[in-house]
Amino acid sequence: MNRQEMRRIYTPEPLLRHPVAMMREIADDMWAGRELAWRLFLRDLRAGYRQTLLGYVWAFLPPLVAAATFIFLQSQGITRIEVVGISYAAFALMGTLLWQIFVDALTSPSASFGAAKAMLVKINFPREAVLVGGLYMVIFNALIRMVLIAAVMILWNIPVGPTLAFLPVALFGLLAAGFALGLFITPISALYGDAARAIPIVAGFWMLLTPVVYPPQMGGIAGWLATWNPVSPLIVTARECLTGQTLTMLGPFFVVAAASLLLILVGLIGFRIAMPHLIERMGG
Amino acid sequence: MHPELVTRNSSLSTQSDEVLVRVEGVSKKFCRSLKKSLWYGVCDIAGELNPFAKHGARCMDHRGGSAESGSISPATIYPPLATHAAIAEARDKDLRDGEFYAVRDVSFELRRGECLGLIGHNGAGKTTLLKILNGLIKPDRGRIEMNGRVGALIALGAGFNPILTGRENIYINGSVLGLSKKEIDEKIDEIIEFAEIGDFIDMPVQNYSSGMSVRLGFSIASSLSPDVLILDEVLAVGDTSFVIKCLNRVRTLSARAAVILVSHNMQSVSSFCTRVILMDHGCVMIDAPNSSEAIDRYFEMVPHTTHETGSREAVIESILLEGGGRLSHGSTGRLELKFSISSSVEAALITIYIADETMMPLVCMPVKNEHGDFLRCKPGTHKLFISLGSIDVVPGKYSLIVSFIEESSKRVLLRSQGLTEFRVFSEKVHSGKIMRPATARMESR
Repeated sequence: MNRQEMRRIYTPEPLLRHPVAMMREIADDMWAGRELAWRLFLRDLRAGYRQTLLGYVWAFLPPLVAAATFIFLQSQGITRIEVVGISYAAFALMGTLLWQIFVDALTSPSASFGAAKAMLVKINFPREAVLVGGLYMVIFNALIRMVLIAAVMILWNIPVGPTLAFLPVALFGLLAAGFALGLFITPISALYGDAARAIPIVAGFWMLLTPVVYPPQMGGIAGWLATWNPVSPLIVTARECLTGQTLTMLGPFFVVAAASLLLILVGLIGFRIAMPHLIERMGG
Repeated sequence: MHPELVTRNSSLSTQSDEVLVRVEGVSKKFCRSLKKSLWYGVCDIAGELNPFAKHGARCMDHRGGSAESGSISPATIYPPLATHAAIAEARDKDLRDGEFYAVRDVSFELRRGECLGLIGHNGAGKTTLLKILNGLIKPDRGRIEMNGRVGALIALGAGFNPILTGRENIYINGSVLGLSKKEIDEKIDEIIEFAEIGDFIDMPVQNYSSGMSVRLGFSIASSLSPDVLILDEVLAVGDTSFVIKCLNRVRTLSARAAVILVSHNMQSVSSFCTRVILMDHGCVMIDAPNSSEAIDRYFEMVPHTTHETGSREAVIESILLEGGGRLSHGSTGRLELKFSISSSVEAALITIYIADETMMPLVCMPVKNEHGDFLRCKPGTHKLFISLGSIDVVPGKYSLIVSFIEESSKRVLLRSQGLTEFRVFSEKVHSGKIMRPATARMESR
């Protein structure tokens, strides 16, 4: 009977000393854990929503409430944001829903890692599956939000243009950037609780610094932020795809998306290197 | 950690002499303070980002201990802890502030069919060593090689979500343990049947009793057939009949695997293990091919504690058990007891108990005189020569409890436990606490 036997060798040597073997190991593990990732996603999906009354509504309630706040402020004249081509309400709603997709992708790696802590410190299994399972959940929630965006577009009679075809790429960029950053936050949040506490504060503030509820400004500090904030091109491009406008920040978008993919690769390597140390210090 | 995929054309059964686990000079540091530990974690991760730095050179002091296959080698005994710890600490400048060695210089080899018992008191480093073997943490020194599929009966029910049903959770836990959906589909009926939880299988796990969840977890984890099996104190769960099922299954799994068992239950260790390593403070004290030597040494290491209660109107001045602390099963125990009773007592009765390591009294022996009446002691100093009769407790570590009670009021004058620790030896291993043969007479036809 043919049998493929695995030989595992553990030494104090850094993994980076054998980079090719390490990359192959990461790829093998991600492949081996593909079914587990799906199963963890299904588990969290069923269990998460089974115990709530509102169910899937929770996927879009936070961004809805955030947008409602800004729509209220605008309608009262407290803010005077000039939006061209579509009503402010639709603009804000689309913005906050897209932003929420980014934040979700950002918090998902540390959140799914923390939730799986009990398993991670006792059993050896393809750990990347935990991250991928969390990512599936992010994609699922993003799809629900897209349904809502579709409803918004129908309600406000927003015309679709040819740029809609680019939407999947735009969304992919949004997810990749969030996930890449999230990967780097994960080892820190595994060790220090500060990360988990800081993220909501930072995310809230960051939203105001990104053209989410206002269009990208040209001049002043706001203009500088719109240019250099890496999430700006992602949000702006995605919204432009939806509203049929020309894609104004396409160059920066590709730069950020490519950088995100690279960061994901680096992040996965960093994750693999950090894992044994995190498990050791997390206890169990 | 890098796996090598090695394709073999032979089937499992012909590889009975292959070495599945090879541990060479493994050491692991630990930090006492949490804050420092977290910071060292950050430093270690940063350190690993430099592939050219020097890391944990192979340990100079190589303690072999690997037996030649087929021959029975004597136990390898290591120098007393004090000297060898001092040597190690002195040469080791790598210990940062607050760190100590949780595992220090452990080496052994294990073949298929062998069962290694890891014993030692709490904090000896056994669980840390298991984590390294399982690939969860990296050693600071040394090298570990594991061949074949590794399975562990640790953390039963990992991945369980209480809201989902037992059946759904079988797929989750099975997936975490490495089974594909197809494999789980094939085994699911067997898993459900073994767990004996009946209709509850389709109910949310949060409704299970703790016994049921653990039985289900065990059933799933033991449905794999690993080449290396790691057991951390979990040999069996549940009630008596289930425990027997578990033990049988573990035996079946062990026959085809190299097993590493960590346990505090010396009975399990002596009945399962073909080899025992005793650890203390991270170091290997003994690596013995038979369990009794290592278990002896383990018992010797426990500090002696006596405990007294009562009104103290009786005082034990000396107590001596014949045999120098070592008695063989079936021999007669002889005790010399010198004590004094205060004048406030009318008369005192004495009871002697043989207690096990947990101080639970196993044998109760009220002291009687030659005529068969209870021995009444008046106030004053007395010296008694007591015959405890045949010592029929099974091999293990015991101590005596002596209790003085006032005859009329029944108040406790003195109850002293943990006296005269002694070991009972026998050639055979028995289950239970007391072994007395029963005599039978065959009906002739």
